[in-house]
Amino acid sequence: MTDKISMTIPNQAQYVSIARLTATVIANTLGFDIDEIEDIKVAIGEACNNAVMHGNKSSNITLDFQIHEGRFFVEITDDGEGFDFEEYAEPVLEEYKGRGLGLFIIKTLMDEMIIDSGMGNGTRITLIKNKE
Amino acid sequence: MSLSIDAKYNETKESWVVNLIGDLDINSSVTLKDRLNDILDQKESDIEFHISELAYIDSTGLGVMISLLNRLDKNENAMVINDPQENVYKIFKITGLNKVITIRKEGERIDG
Repeated sequence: MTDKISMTIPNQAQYVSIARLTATVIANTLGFDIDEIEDIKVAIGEACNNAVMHGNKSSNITLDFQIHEGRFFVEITDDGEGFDFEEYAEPVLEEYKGRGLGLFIIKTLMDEMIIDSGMGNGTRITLIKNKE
Repeated sequence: MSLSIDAKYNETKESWVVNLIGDLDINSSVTLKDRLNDILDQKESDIEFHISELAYIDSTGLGVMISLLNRLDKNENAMVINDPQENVYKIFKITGLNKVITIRKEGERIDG
């Protein structure tokens, strides 16, 4: 697949499962194995969770799926308030306050995660899974 | 899939027994959190979860488990999770939560 598949969902919790299931179908079509498909599904779910938590409920989340040079790219974009990634710290379980765990899960499951976020400018999270 | 929550108090075990079926995600975690706080308000005791039919868990679901654990700890009560599917268990494992929560498979303690 060199073409791009895009989908848009309302930025609300009830629609995140639709994005997860769509991601599962696409990853399956691309030939990822069952464990990889599950990793991709969880990571995309977490990126959407992040958008719902920081985003604007009346706007949308856009997901763009693309294969480029043997790598699967998923861009998840919202136009919410954004957050300061510089302030992100990996969660320490003993002091866990319920934040940061989602990004930690994404980093563990995907080969690469790129976050482009500025206060007031929305957020784009790019997830990359190597195909080979 | 949405989340089905079935909670009953077992007098013999002196514990809440909670069955979870479906997806524990950002859309259902608040409902579960409220329900667990409700049952503990009725009776503070141990809780055992049966999650063999839980298909999915995310960080918001883990957040519910962590805050539950804090409440149980305060009252010196315990929590056990029984029979997670492999994909659900993986999320407990990569976040290290399996080190603080007792997880059993087919009655055998595997973590915690």
